[in-house]
Amino acid sequence: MEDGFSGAAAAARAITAGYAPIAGAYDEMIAPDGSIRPHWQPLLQALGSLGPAELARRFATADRYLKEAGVFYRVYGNAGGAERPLSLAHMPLPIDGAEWRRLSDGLVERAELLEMIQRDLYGPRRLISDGVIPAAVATGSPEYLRPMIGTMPPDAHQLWFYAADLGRGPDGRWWVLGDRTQAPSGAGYALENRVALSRAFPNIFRRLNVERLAGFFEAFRDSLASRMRDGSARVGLLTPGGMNETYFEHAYLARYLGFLLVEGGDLVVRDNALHVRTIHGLRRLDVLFRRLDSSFADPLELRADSSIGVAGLLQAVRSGQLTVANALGSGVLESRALLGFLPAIARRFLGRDLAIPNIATWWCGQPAERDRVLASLDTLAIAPAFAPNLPGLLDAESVAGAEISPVQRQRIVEAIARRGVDFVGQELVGLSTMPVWDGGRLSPRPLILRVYVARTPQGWQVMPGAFCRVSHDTEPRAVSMQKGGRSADVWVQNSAPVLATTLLPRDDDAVIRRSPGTLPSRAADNIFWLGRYVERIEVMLRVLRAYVVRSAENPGARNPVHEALTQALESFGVIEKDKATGSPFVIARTALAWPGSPLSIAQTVQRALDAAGRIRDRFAPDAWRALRDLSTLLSEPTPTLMTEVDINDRVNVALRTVSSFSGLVQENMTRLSAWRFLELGRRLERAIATTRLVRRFAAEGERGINAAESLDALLELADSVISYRQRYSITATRLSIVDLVALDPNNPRSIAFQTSRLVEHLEALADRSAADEPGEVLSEAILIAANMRAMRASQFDRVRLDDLEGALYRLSDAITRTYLVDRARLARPVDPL
Amino acid sequence: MRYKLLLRSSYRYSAPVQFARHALRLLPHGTATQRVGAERLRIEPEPYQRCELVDFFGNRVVQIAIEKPHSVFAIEFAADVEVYSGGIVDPQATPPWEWIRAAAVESRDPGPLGPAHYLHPGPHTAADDDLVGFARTFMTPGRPIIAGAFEMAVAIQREFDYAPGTTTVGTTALAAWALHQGVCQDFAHVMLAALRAIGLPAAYVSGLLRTKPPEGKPRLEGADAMHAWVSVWAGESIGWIDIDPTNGLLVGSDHIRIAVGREYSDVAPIDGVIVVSGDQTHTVAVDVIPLD
Repeated sequence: MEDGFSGAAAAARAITAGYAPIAGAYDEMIAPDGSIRPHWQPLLQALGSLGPAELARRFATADRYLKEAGVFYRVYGNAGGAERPLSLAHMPLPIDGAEWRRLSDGLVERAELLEMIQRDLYGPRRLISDGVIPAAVATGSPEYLRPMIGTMPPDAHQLWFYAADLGRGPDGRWWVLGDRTQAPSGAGYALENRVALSRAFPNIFRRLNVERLAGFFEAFRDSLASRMRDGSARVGLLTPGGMNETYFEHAYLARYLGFLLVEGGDLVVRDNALHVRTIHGLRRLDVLFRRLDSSFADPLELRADSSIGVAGLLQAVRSGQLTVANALGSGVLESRALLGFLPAIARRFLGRDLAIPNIATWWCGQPAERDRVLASLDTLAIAPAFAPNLPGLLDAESVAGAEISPVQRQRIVEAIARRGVDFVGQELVGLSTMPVWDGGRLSPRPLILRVYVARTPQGWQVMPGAFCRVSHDTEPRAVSMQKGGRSADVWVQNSAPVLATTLLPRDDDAVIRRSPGTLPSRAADNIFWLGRYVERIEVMLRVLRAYVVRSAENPGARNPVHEALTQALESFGVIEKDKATGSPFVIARTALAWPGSPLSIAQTVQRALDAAGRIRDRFAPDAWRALRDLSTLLSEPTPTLMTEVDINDRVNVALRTVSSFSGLVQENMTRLSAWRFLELGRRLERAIATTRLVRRFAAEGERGINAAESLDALLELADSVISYRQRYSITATRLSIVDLVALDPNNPRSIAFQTSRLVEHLEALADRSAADEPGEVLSEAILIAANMRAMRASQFDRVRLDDLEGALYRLSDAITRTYLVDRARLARPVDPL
Repeated sequence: MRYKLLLRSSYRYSAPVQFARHALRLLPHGTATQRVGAERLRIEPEPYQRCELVDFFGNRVVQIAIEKPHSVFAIEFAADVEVYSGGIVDPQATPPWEWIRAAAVESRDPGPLGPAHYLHPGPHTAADDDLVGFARTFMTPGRPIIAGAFEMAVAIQREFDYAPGTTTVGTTALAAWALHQGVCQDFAHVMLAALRAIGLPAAYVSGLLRTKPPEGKPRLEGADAMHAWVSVWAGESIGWIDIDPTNGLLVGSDHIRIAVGREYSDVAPIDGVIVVSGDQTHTVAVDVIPLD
């Protein structure tokens, strides 16, 4: 289908039929004379020859990939943590190879200049003392970190990963709209867009000689790795944590690059060196790729209110034992105020003008510039000089002067006169447009390119592609992902076939390196609790199902098993104690309510999701999706007219989703420490739950329970009905059932089975030779397991069940103490004033 | 004026702290008007790591790490300090505030004495229209900078209630402005916010203040206090002038400078991060004993 050159031109014309560029804007696809630009021809021909239906199908494939891969973008300021799938503009943006080379050269020049500025601002500060920039242009940035001034080791690089936001004006020239030097985001999304499109159009992608992205990331990874003193160590990727809007990307890049995803709470500085707390103690980290704003990096010397930094980090940098990329304080280069001075700085440092200039910017701290901005407010954009916004004056990053209301305008003019230092005026740029796929046809939308530049052993290297943000509407200015824009893949076309000359993995989504590495204690803690929560959800659902089924069989009956099940519902937190009133179905509906009481199924699912969300880098996307499915299913409203069939259905679907989660984890998770902690959590929770069930439904001396019915319920709750039928054909006897459910080492549901597995996992984690004596935690586990192996059903009475439960709780505490996190909180000393 | 300084501060934790890192900004530094003689700093428990550095603003910072569990963290600091009264400035003879505003923006001084560092509001020194209006009542056209600033300090001293416990270290200038009460730190923040809001550079100073006992009464031990005030830039040639809005006066030889910064968080005397599972209580006693 994709082949056959005859009629190709017609195919290209067909797909662009009805496409009308926006007047006055540069269109990436259509030249002013209405012809298709040459470098679009092969792409349009290839896409056009697929036919509209096939094209729609392929685009849907790409969408599905992004959705299934769980590519999300968190929306700012949303306490509920709403996430939105990354939305694809579908059509890639092809860029001609020669034009790309010019662009690349310009950005490398710019990266080098920014590096020089950073070195000057944190070193001799000649730009200031020689009068190239006023001191206030540097000092106004909240990211100009005083503790870093004058501490720079002479050979230390400052910028490692830089991005520029580019827009193309009506004359076809590219302009830099802003520099991203702090911790540029979006590269991970660009990778995912690439994977999505290359999967949807594998043949076209190959035939058009599109440059691959993997080599760029590989070079960057090698570059950071070269800063490590020990080859077996890892590079840490420092994230602010799960609430950050680009956390998905942090986890994704950590996986892709083989970096260790760490939060401030994982790290500790000791003897001026950075360490990560792992399940095996402190491990040294020599290099941090940071996605955290510098000012939050060290509560001891920077923002003291930061709870996401590491006390002593600056000291580690100053002592030369830690490389942070980008260097702390590099955010100072992002100020709009500085943009106005870049031409002068370029002439000073490079002796020439920049090949790719930024948009004209006037800092209102200077009288002449301020007067100029005030005089031509209608034709300029007004923006904060340093901050992302100015509360009450400028809520957005940038506002067109002509669009400001008269009242607000008066306020802004007054503020500029009073404190001009806070404002810049910028020329208004018209952006170029590219086609997006909109309900079966192409329409033009404005775009911004974010292009990435990395320091590599061979010098600066530009990612041959970009994160292209496409506006939601046709207004050819300001594009923001936060305002519901879409993103497009960028195809840099090489004239020669790309595959033949590359050493890269065949697929762009190939993970570059997987090293077993070390498991941070916090990650292990989340995995352990995820295991416990998932198992807890399962047992809660089983108890609820047993309750619903028996209520349906015996409506209105208040028999002892029904009582025991009601109590079990209460003791597992499915329903709140003493609040279970009304018919069994009312109770069951309450049990399924969302968000429910604090210990409810819904809340446990939420906790499982929270735990999983914090360890996304170690987690197969499919397993993550199974958990999300569970929350989606359970959060659907429960209709008032819910029958027992509906309730049963919902519980059964939920149980199947839990099983599919477990299956996915078993199948897809590498048998490393992380998997062991998930297993520890599940086995421990199952052992505890089964112990409690045996006590409630089969302990001797439970009065008033009809033995047979109660034992049946236990078999069902412990999911051991089939095992039992295979072994015993006659009616249930108490001892045979207790043996099967609690003590039989071959029943994967029995308590004894769980305790044996616990020993296995702890043995593996202890990593000791047989001659060493077992540590505290292993010792406890061995005792519990041995006790269970020696136990006979006739001895397993209420006292022994109580002892076992207590021992299991102590084991959980011991695991936490030995491997997981310190539950103590970080605090600051009270102020002495 | 020569003084003996004594500062004793202790923290008691209801559950032992496993790990602590502290930054102490308690040691006074020598300036043109202040000389520091013999001094002693004792810390309990003995830190496993201790280093002293000088920060960007010229303040002395002692960074310590304690890794053994401890229920008490105590600091005892003693020093001999001599303070000379700087040359008296005639507030009326200082430049008009508009000149200062223009000179601050043009400054080429990147060092800690350069006005540009103290020109921009920080997290605790943002202002609103009301505070701008307050600043304007003193900075009338052509008003000499220190005359206006001094009058502002007097107004704060007069109009604000000194009320310990009504604010915390996290209280912003705007919050204190709304309350019209607080402690020295709040008064300093309000004055900084007002000055910066109209483009005037001003710094936060922490230090100690000698309190004079009532006539005929002995000096009470430990009754002196840590204090904070404001330093206002009066142009290249005059430099920085210290003004105390808590007491409504120009600073003389009763004030001992310890640290200077943009706002409180730059100079917090005892800061840090501790790993703790219980509560903490704190006591502090300060003596400023005149030796002359």
